[in-house]
Amino acid sequence: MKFIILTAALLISAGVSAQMIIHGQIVDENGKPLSGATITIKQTSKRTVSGSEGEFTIQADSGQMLTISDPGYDDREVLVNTDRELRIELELSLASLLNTAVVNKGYYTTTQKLNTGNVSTIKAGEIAEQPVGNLLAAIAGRAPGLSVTQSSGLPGAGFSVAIRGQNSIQSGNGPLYLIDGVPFTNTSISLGVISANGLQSPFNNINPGDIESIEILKDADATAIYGSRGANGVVLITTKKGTSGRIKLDLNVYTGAGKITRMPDLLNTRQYIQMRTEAFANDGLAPDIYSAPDLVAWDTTRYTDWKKLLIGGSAKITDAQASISGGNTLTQFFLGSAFHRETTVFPGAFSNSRGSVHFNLTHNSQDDKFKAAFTTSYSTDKIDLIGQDLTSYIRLSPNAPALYDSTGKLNWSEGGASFSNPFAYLLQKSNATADNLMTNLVLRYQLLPGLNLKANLGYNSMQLRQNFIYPGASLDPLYAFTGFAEYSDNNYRSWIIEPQVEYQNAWGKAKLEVLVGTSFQQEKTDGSITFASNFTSDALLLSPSAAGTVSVNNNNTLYRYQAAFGRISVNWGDKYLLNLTGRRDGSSRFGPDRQFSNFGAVGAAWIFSKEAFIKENLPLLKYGKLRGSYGITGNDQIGDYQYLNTYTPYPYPYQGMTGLVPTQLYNPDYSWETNRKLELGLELGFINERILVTISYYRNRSTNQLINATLPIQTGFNGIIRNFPAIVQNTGWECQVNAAIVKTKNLTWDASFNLTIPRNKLLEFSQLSSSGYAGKYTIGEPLGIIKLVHQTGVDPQSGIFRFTDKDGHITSTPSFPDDYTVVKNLSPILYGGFGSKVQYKGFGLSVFFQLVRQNGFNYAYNNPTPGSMANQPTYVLNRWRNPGDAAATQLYTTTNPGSAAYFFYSNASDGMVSDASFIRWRNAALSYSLPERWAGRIKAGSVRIYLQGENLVTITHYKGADPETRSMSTLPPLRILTAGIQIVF
Amino acid sequence: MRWNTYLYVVYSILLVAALPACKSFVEVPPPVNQLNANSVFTDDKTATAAVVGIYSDMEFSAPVSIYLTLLQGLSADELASTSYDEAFQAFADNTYKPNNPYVAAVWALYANIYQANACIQGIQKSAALTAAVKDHLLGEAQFCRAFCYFYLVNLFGNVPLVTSTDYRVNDTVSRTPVAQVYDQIITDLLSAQNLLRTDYPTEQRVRPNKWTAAALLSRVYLYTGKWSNAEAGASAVIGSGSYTLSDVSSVFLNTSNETIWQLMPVSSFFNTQEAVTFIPFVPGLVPVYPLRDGLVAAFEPGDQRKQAWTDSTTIDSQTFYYPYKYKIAGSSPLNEYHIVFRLAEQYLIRAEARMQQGKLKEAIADLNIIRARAGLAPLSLLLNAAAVTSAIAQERRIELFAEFGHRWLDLKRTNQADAVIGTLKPSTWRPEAALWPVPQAQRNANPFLTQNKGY
Repeated sequence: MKFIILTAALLISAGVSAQMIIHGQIVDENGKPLSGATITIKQTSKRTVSGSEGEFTIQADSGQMLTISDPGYDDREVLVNTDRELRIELELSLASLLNTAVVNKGYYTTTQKLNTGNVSTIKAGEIAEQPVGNLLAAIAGRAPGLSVTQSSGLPGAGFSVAIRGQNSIQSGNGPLYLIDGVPFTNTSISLGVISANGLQSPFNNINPGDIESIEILKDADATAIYGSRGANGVVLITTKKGTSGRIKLDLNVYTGAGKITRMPDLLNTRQYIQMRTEAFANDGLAPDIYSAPDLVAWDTTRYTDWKKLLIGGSAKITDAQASISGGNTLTQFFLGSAFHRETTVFPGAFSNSRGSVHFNLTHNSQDDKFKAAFTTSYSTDKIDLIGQDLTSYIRLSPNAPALYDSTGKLNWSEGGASFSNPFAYLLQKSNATADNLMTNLVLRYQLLPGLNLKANLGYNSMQLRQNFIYPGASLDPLYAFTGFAEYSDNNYRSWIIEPQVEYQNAWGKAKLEVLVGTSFQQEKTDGSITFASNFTSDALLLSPSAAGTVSVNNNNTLYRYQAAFGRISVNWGDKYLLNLTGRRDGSSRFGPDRQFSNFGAVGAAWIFSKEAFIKENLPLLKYGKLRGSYGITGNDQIGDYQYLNTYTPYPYPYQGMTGLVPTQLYNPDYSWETNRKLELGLELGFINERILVTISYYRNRSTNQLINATLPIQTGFNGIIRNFPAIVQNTGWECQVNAAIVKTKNLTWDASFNLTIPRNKLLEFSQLSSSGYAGKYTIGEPLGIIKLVHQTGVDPQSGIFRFTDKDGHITSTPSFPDDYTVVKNLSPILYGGFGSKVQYKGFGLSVFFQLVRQNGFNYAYNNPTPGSMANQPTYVLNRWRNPGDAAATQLYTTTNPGSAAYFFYSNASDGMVSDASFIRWRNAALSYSLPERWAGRIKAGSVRIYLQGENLVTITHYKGADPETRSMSTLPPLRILTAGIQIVF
Repeated sequence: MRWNTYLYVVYSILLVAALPACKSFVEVPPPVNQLNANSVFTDDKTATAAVVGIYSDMEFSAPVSIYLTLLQGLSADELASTSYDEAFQAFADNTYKPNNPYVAAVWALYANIYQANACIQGIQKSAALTAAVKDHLLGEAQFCRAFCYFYLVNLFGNVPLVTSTDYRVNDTVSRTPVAQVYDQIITDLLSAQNLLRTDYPTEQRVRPNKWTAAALLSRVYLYTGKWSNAEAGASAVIGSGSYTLSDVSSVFLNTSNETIWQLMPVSSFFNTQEAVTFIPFVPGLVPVYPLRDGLVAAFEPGDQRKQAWTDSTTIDSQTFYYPYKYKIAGSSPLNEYHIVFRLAEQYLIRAEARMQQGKLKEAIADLNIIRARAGLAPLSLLLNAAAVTSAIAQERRIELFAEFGHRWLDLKRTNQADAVIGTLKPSTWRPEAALWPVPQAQRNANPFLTQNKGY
């Protein structure tokens, strides 16, 4: 019966309109079959999905409309007419955020769709919008899970980088950096000539303009192939390569200036003198020449705005980049050169200049079997600075004596009382020259179809020469010293050889990729530091042979590392993905028999949007992926030779004999710290993949912690390295949203947003209470905590701070650590970034905001007692004066008990920790590209002029200087404004 | 996939996997700037260098080179402080707290004790050293250990007694009673006295000899009330014939024949830390650590030591005195070494030991030797015990001021601290301040360390 009706219906319909069976094939622009595309008959629910060769069969009436859609491609409609064989070509959707997303995972690449791990990418475009000299400054806030903190606003200063929090209690927490596959270091190679900017950051040698992309590898799936180096994440930096096509010459120049932003106002002389006088009155003491030279011996009406004088200048910034690139289909090249110069906000001619060249050559053989890519870059970075950050001297008494005496020499005293003349430090010049050569060769040869041999060869050489002079003229005559100087020469050489075999094949829906490789690496550092004194003349300070006394200290280390690694990846119909990675590592940083360890990970992903039931029920969801990974990585960042039992020469000989002293306590038995990482991720793409949302949860647990366990000095040393049964856990949620909101010929509008909610927790620590960490950590709390006593504010009667003891009673002399009742977490508890970019015809505008939520030390931390001989932020004006006053700050005083209450007890109280959250308008870039016909007049392909700004506005409740550097004695990050022009021929 | 392809794959994988088999790649040689501990004590020269490393570190590091003198001088009634550093001021007021950085710095004498322990262990185990060198080095190391413990036990009371190098044992050692620490000091010094020769191993008396060990031992006997031993010890040093009292003006020169042991300066910037610390270089500047008025007034009229060993500067009609035993603040000429033991103290030790045994006349005779050198008239041989006691205290106060804290230790061991310092600093002195606090960081690191009373 059913059969009859069906047959009849078919016959009837065939009679009404010509229903026919259509066979077709869906292909992409290159004619490659597209499987999994959905073919729907419009205004019906009838649909089918293309097969592995893109083929499909559907019954339709002529005149009906077929809608063909495939994620990543623009939808296409085809009218059914008489053709029974259709070949339908789909065009890649320009707006899709997934199409171009090749993901570099170091030893291999994948696409964002097929990636089983967690990788964030920062592209050259985002870097180019920021007028910063250091690459690390350009990635702050740009990727979830990545926290970047600048140590100072001076050029050459270091950045601390953490991926997903602090894993290790004591060992290095920095990620592994690879530039084109060659390990690079973020640790200064300086042996210890510390200049105003701290230790020289090696990243200051990298020209941000040479960088094509930066990939942040986070979970076990992405990092376990790096074994022991992957525990703290991996930062892959890829430099610019040539592309085939016409020769392109790109010139880009910008210039601008930077100034300090947030630095609290300090008391002027009137307020300062009042503070000092009031303090002595409160103390019932008479100021005399040695308790108060500022009141007794110095002019109490003179006013110097030290902040303005010492750090109020503007830093000039100039950057020029030129590159030429091009090539044919077989050979491409890129040759770039750049110059960057920054001066400082200090008075005087101090600057940082960097010159660099970058060259890349890529060649493919005609038969495509052989491929070679050679990259080399060289840079020289010259930093002419001073030894001290003058920011620490803005607290000088505002009525301090004149800087120079009547003869033009530095002044050191007035009225019989000496003062530390900050301009003396301008004479203590610290010069550094850092050279960096990186070179890398990748060779690939196709032995058989699907079977490649590959080798990655790299070499990195860094040299850092520093000299730091202390002319006699800059030294307080109190000590009657002649000039002295320090010179250091540091060399770092590393090489890496990584032969690999790649194999791939496909059987039906299954694709297999196998990679096996080994890695040999060596890092050698040779440094010496020469200390020279008793110079006969300040003019000879750069010549150690002119010194009466010279002592040399040298440090030489050799680090070797080897590994075998592999990867097996299975892809079933681009729907089910499995990725297995493993590595066996050996490191010279461990004693015999402790050197080797195994690491590995499993990653899997399910692209559920490929499932028919999703396509049918959630047609809006163009892309959906669930992924997860679990694995083990390790950490050996403890320094070299720590397992040896040795004696070291003492740098100060005794009666001509160089003494020997024990280097450290001896422990040959420690081994790898291990880090177990778990990750779950959900990736969703909407509206033709124009909106992409990624949500990840991670849980990393670090065990076998390598701790320089604190020991009482009665053991001879303050600590020893050993594996400790402690577990540190980092969990967190990461969210990233990218949206191509508008994408038309004239107008494009993109936005991106990322947010990380990290949580760090000390899960286990055996015998914590009896360890040296008892006062520092609590089980169940983050590592970033600090334990404090509770400050109850200013006592209205005595005018000094009061506290509570462990029983909750008010006391003026709490005891440490017994009365630590407050725990404050100083690590960020939420951070992220928001960026948006609009391009309308020739106009472009992009903005980027950084957001950090955290607690931090405020200005009161280590602040001298208000009333003592140091200037204060105007916050202290709201002080206690008379019994009964309710004041925020205690009375001005120079002596105990007020001094102890402020500088000793309150400094260990919750009164010095407050909200240091901030939203920073980190970057803005406005550009205009001249119409082509105008550019054509100077025979240029394009001309673009732009304005850029960095660190523009900071919104914060923070009491103190910059909420990022959180220090009153370090130069905060500068606000930088630049203008530039880019011409491409 | 063809069979050939399989072979290629297998071969390639084997090739790559075989490479890391060479395990020796990650076995690196020791660094060129360090010496394996086992080889240090197999050679006379390197073993000597290990012992010399103790003196280098003592003279370079703050505890011995300046803090023992400065901090004890501030704690007692010798020095005042005009330093802006509140942690120094705390010593002048006797209000030091467990987190005072300088208290911690002195406790770090344990680093020198570790060096000595490591040397003692290495030397005792070694069969390769020349017998004479071995004995002398062992004696020197034992002396150094005793020297450090002497100050620790006097400044902090009970202190952990550590005589080995195994941190797994030593990190939890609790505070050993004073008497037991003294027993170890005496054992070490008796042994050192036997092992050390009467001559010095090198020129200029910069490494201890037998009489150095004897000098410390007689002081230890004095402090522990073993009067006859103290007298005999001091007599042995005095009678050795190796030492004579120098002229007042040349006591602190490196050529002084009064010196029993001196540390040679290792810094290229100055002779002694004392000179740098005490002497203001620009006339018109207030000394950072001026002498207290009471000490200045305690010099008898005509005492040549006041002229030779103190100096003053006058600012706004206020005169500040400061220690001037060491006069060369710069690095050249290198004429002043850091004197740790000198003969004068041995006379004073003997005088006190004799007085305690009722030998008043002999005691006064010893005092008069010191007084005569200072240009002072002799004391009457008829003084009674109380007068001799106070004369000894007075003479020690003047002779040994601003030298390794003699005054502070004298006030404490003669139970005068409360009376003298309590009078001088009535608002801040507490009897518990006689012992410095155990550093808080050390108590955090070793929970078995108790705190002294009152902290």
